[in-house]
Amino acid sequence: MDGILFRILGAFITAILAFVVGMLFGGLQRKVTARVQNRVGPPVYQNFLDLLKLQSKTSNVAHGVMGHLAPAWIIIAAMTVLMFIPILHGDLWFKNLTMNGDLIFLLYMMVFGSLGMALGAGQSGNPNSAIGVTRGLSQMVGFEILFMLALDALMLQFKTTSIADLMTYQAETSRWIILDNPFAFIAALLASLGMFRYSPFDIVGAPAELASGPVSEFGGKYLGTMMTGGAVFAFIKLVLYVDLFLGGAGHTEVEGILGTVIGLLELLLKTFLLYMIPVFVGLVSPRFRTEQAIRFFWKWPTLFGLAAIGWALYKNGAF
Amino acid sequence: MPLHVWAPAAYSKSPMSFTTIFSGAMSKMGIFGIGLVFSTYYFSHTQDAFWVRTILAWLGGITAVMATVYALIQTDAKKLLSYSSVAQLGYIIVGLSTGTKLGVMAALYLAVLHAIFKGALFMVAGAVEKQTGTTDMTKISGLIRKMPFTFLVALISIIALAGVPPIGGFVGKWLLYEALITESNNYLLVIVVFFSSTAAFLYSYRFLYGLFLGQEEEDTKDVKEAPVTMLIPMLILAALALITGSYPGLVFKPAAAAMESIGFTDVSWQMSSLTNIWGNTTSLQLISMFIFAVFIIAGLYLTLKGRKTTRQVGTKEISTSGELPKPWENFSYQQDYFKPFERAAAPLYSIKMNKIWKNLGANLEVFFGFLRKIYSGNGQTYAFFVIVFLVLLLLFKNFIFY
Repeated sequence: MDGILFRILGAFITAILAFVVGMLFGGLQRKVTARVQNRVGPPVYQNFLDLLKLQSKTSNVAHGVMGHLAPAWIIIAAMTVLMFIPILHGDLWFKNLTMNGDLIFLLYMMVFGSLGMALGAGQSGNPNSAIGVTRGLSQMVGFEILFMLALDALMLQFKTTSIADLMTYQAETSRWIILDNPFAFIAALLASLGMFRYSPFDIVGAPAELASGPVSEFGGKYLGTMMTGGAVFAFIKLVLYVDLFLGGAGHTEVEGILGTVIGLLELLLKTFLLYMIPVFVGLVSPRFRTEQAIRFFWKWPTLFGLAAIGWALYKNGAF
Repeated sequence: MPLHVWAPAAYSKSPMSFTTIFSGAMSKMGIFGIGLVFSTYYFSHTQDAFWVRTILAWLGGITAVMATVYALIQTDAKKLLSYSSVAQLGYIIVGLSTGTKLGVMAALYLAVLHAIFKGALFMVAGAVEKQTGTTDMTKISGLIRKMPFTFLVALISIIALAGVPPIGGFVGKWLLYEALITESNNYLLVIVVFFSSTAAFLYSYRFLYGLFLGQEEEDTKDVKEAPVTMLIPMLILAALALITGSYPGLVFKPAAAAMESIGFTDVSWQMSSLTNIWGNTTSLQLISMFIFAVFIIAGLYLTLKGRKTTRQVGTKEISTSGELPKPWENFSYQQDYFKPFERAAAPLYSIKMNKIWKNLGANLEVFFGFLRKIYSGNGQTYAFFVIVFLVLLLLFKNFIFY
């Protein structure tokens, strides 16, 4: 059961799972937003319909080679991160390449898509795209510091840079890292607000100011491919958080397919609850200006990050 | 490091063909000196030299941050690259100062790789200067259609600079972070370095957008691709950056030999994977292969699907909400590029190293002015000092000579 074909099949299943769940979560988010605003809202499967429409457009407009390839960069980032993050703990189907990359690699791989997107948006020649990109990159400096502080604390505390090891620790001790280092979780959660780019951090897209920013010149198959990548990426970010802080998912006691299904249900529940945090924050907050959005991360959240490192040192008996 | 006071001005004024050597090789002389001092003393006395190394490492980190934030407000491509060189040297200092195997390896690797990609980038700036007559990013834009190969080199080198896999720069970043986190307790310095290298994305994008992306200017309409003699060296350097991303062992091998010759033992390295002391591995070859495979599949899909109906348009055909821009109007966003970031990081910009040095100089002048009053150059005054000294000696001889 460990042949190369089996691994490839597992990789395909992982990709399809991530795609479907990411798209469904997007639909659910639209539904939740609508219900909060006292609207009926689109059906949950609306995102699939949108994707179908975009992919079946007959006229596509390409603004040069970087604009043409920008969606490919996003797909690369999404697929690579997907393959290197463990989906379920100790499951045969979702083994993929999880033992071959560590947290520092993932941290850098996660910005790969944004950079490709930035290049594509830059070539389109639309000033709104360029402004959106500079905003996005500036904001990234804000939240990536915070995320790094949280990861730094975890690496120090558990003496590992591999996600698989962190998951194994949580599975063996049945103790979630959120309990072991709550400050790191708070810091990472605040960073996730910026990562998901819902209000008040939606300065990149900013519908009313920038006409959807970097994606404004993309349509048809390009926008559709970006949407696919974005959906996979949203799911994988959530899985990363669940793996790092919420004990991961996966059922090791029950053998076979049933165990996998139980594990997946657990994963879906955890990721969905986590996903609702940035969504709900977004529903009640107006948009920040760019400098406010950057500074937000450098104030209180950074203190939580530093506290996380202090806590990790304390737990390791440094003082 | 105080280095950054003169470097940007010198790099941006010197002829292009020399700047590559300046930044690639000459700037490593300082590193070589520090490395020599370290290899003779500090590496063998790790405990004694803790404070020296920590202070030096923090100075390196602060240099990296300051040079980075100044790089991203430059409007001249060469100046931007020079500030970025200063920042990269900051990383190298950090790596050397840790004094651990991984840290020194990171420093040596970064030194080699910086020579490769910064050399290529200065050549790109040189090619642009030759073809358009300027490297001011507010004056030119949209050169990607005119100079595609130059852009390709710039793209690969910038990705190496930003440290994104699967190109060589990532290996250096990985080694540096792992050295700081796993081998030496620099858990706060790693944040400083990380800040600098994340902010480096900003000026990386500024460089690419400023020269190559955005809408074409009217006066750069007739610009041609750089001559082949300029392209070949650039392409070779870019290819090296690409290869080291999958096989960093090519650089590790001589670096490990150098480290063993200055007293490290058992320097281990692998051709295409990275391992830290906690045993966590990153397999670079696998990653590169995966990335290129996905890139080819996605690229083919985008190209082949509806190939006939896809319209290739220029950068002037954008949605402008119904307004019709005149042909000479250029919408490229070039002025005040990272203004929001400047506002957010305003305290950092208020620290000016030149000002600090000037203040220090002024204070030293006052001090030496005072000294000059004592050393007046008058023989009789000196004779007076000698007599006063003798009298003092006689007065206090009981305290001095028991």
